Amino acid sequence: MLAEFSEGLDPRAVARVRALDAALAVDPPVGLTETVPGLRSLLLLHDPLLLSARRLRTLLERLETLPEITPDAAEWLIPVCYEAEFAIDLAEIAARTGFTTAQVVARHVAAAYTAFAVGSFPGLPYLGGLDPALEMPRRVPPRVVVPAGSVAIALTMSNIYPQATPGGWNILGRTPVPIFDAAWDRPSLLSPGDVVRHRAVSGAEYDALAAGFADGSRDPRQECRA
Amino acid sequence: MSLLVEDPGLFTTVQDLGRTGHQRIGVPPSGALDSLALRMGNAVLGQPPGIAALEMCRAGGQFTVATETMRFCIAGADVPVTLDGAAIAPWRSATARRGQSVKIGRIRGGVAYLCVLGGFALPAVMGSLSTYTRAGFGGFQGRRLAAGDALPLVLEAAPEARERLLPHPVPAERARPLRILLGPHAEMFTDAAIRTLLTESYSVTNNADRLGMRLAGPPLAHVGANEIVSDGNATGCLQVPGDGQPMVLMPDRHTMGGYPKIATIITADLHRLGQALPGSVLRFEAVAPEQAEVAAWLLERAIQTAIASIREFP
Repeated sequence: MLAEFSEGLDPRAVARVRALDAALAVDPPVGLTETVPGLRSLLLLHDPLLLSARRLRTLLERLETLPEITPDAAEWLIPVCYEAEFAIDLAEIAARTGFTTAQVVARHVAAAYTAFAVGSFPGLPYLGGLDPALEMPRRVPPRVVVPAGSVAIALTMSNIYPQATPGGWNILGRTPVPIFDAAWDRPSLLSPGDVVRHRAVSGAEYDALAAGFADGSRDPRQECRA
Repeated sequence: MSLLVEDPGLFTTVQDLGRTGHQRIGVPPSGALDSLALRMGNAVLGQPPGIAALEMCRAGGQFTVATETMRFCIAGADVPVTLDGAAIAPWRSATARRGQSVKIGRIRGGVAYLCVLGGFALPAVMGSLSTYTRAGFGGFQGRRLAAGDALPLVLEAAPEARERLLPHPVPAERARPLRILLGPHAEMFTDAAIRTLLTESYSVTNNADRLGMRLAGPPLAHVGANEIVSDGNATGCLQVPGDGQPMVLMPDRHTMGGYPKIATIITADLHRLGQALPGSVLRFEAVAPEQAEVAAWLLERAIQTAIASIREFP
């Protein structure tokens, strides 16, 4: 069952998705297998043997009248290197928006983002809160391979690619931070609702951080807490 | 204490009933494409339904037993199986001794399972042994099996016991249309598109794997936009991109997607999807949620009846 709150991408709908998700988590009905926050809706997967669609619908209608719960959100500061080696599309983004590359980076770094949802691929965050002056469509056709750690923008959002995958977003930098590890207790660094800020780092600092995360001397779960 | 892979077949992975609760961070459920076959194979061995097995797609493979004894059962689509050259029927247990070779031939359907008593001694990832190859975790090293792999077994020897068999597997109902719930985005399609989906046939193309199956048939026209702001995907949903050709999402699918979903295959029919092959012809029949719930219950009753019919032999 899909509980939809808007057609377009609307931060108020995202907040209502989170509130419903949190309300359900307080006392989950038997048979509700899992919930999946999307960008404008909450998907409810349920076992038809344990929880009928009719009962689930009744339950949702009752929850709609409850006071909203604001779930806890973690805050993160994620380093990004915007140097040319990693900023594959930065010149094109600058040309498209009429800014210099430095201005694009300044605007991307200045924003506070909220993880509207995490998904498609393991750990991929959809970060709302992009500077409206940087809004732009996805690339057509998409790239066959986007390198892991790429930080990219499209539509009204920014994201971080946890793994090398195909993708159509416009790449303006790369983070040395591994944001998904199946071996962690909580495999995704970011959860829906978390707040993310970026800080710009040099290529030298990127290399040092990347080496630390790779050899285990640095742990992003502590290192990147804001 | 292992099972050695001599020939891995085409695409063989370790799968159980899948991982639950991690779609919210982008991790799909994975798990057996034909969960009914996995459950029944484990039932023949007298063990819980979710013990992980080897899922073999389209072609079996060859395995050598490197432990004292290993009791196993082949479940799923019809497939020729031999133990050191002697034919073994599916849906029955058999016990192999050290050095013996289990050879599984061409699968006459989508998937078959090699279930072993005790299962495989592999680490769970997010609560499941299912392999998710795209992100490289779960199962055996997060990948499909390769020749030379040694799969660790839980049991060194199968306890002495008579073998067991399932006389009548749960009927596959191949001729019956797949039952669907229209939605969640049925209103984004023309009335003609809905009629077309419910009356025409769609064939499975070669673009079919554990992620999804692209279908080919009369195109399904959108009313307006052919993209949505992404929301969560369910296994068995029929997403329709701009070209109007539906794609059925399978257990290794993306957890969120931006194409409208015209319909969703009901839980009771998901296991039948696992046996669809390129060239298979699919037809769809719309049902109400209440009917889907009755269908789930009827399937569960058929499973319980089948489990109760398992008997010892000879």
